[in-house]
Amino acid sequence: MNDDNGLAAKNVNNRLPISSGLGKFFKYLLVWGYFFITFGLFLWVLMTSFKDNSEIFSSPFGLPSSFDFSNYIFALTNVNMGLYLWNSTVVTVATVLLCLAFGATISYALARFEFRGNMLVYILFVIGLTIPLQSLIFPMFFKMDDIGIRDSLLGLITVYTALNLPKTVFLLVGFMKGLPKEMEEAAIIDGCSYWSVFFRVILPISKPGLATAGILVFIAAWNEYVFASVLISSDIAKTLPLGLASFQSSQLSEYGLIASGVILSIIPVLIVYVIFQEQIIKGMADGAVKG
Amino acid sequence: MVQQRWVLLAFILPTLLFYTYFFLMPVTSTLIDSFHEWDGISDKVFIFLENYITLLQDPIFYKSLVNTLYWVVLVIVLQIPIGFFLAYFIYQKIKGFKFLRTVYFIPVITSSVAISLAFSFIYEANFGILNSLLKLVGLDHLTTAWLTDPITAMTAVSLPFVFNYIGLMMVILFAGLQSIPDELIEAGEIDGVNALQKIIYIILPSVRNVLFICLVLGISYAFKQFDYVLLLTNGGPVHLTEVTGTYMYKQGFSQSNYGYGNAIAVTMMGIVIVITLVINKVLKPKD
Repeated sequence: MNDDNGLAAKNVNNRLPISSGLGKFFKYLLVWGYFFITFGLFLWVLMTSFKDNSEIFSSPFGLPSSFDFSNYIFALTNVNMGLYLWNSTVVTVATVLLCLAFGATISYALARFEFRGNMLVYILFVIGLTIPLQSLIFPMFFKMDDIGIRDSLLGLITVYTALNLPKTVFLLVGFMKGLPKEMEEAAIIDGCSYWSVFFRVILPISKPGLATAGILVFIAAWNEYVFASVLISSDIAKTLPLGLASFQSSQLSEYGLIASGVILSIIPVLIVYVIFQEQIIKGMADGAVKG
Repeated sequence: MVQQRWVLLAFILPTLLFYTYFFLMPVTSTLIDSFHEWDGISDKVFIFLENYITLLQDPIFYKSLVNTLYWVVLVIVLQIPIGFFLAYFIYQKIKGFKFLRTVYFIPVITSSVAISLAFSFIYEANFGILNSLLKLVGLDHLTTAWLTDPITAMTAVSLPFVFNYIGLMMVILFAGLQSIPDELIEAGEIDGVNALQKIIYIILPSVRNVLFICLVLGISYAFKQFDYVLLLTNGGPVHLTEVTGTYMYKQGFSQSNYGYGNAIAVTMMGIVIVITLVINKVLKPKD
């Protein structure tokens, strides 16, 4: 029996490469073709960011003649990219912190306690996951206008926090439900209040879950465009995506400058991605699969 | 213990109030406002279903819906298949697969604005990559202004969207592939199936549920991710590249027709929720 299996497996191994000659071609074409498109595009924008217009026209695909940072310096100082970068950082960091604070507290209650309405509250957040967020754009606009924080970083932070809460709560409830209960129970028997259990036990052991949720919110807030374009009208409150988009219309012919803006906007999120990539990939796949 | 019950409220209430005020209330406003005629300034006039009746007879809305469905088709024929094969090849642990996976995922974490700008460089009529390449190989007659040419505009504006999420489809399917038991694949190999049969009869049925998830996700992105149209063509030339999202956006912010805009928003929500429910239903018995 064992022998038979071994023989059959060997046969297959012999047969596979022949029958999949075309398959192999397709495989390498796709794997490297798509690699070339993604990586090539990134490299090309990077190279372009070091060139001036005359060089872009004379050698669009070549290496830049020198690594000249003048496009970056011009972008950061003369066209306010420095300010936009700062605004994006403030909005993103505040959104992440608020989402985690709001998300962790309610998730602890939902994951660990049985009370009337528990399921209902949880479902309200799950419904939030299925709604295409962009369809909330009009009421969000008027609500922010009514409160008087529409055209401000505070308004953006509020909207982004609200929009990202469903997925934060969903991920954190899932994570906290999977945690072992022994430590908490011991702490409660020792006479700790729920607050100290939350701060001393739950938060420390939830770090991986908080990190995943935090990173996903970070990426979403850093890259968001549609809501920002509607809410923000004054230059002083613009975030990077907005700055970049207005760049495209105002500096239309300065390709090197636009490319430097694109690179500036990608780099922070790329750094976060390279550091946390396992967590990001897993978090996104989990969020999607379980959502 | 009674006191502790009250403490529990402190965990729930702040978030619940915030969420209700800034998320759930906007959802209900969208719904309520869709039954009104409103220019954003004067009083709202209740007109019940009139916006929806107008919507049903609005040729531009149908055009935008068809274009959005074109994105759904692209999700099915390009995004998911490419994502699947990338995942499948990487799953076979080819050399450098970790590095490849890292690179494939970059578009997923990149902002739509950056991707749009990169694609506007590709499509640019004079020095853009696409036209430069065509000239390089002597196909000058094929060069065109991709985003304004009525024949190419819709596809040109759709490709960045496809590109944006291939990496996401890949990692979801990759997770699905990893959960296939080795015995199943080995059993197939023992039965002597070839590479193609292996994919059709063993791999695809095993990741069926994950494929459905990709489909639901892709459809919801097709309806909500209209950044690319807004940034690259703004729906033009003459509504040829209009999608439901941009049409909604314009009805509100350029036509001050907020009631109608909200009716489009509710229709979008409805379509996405119904599709999600139907696919979940189809999926359930086999779970």
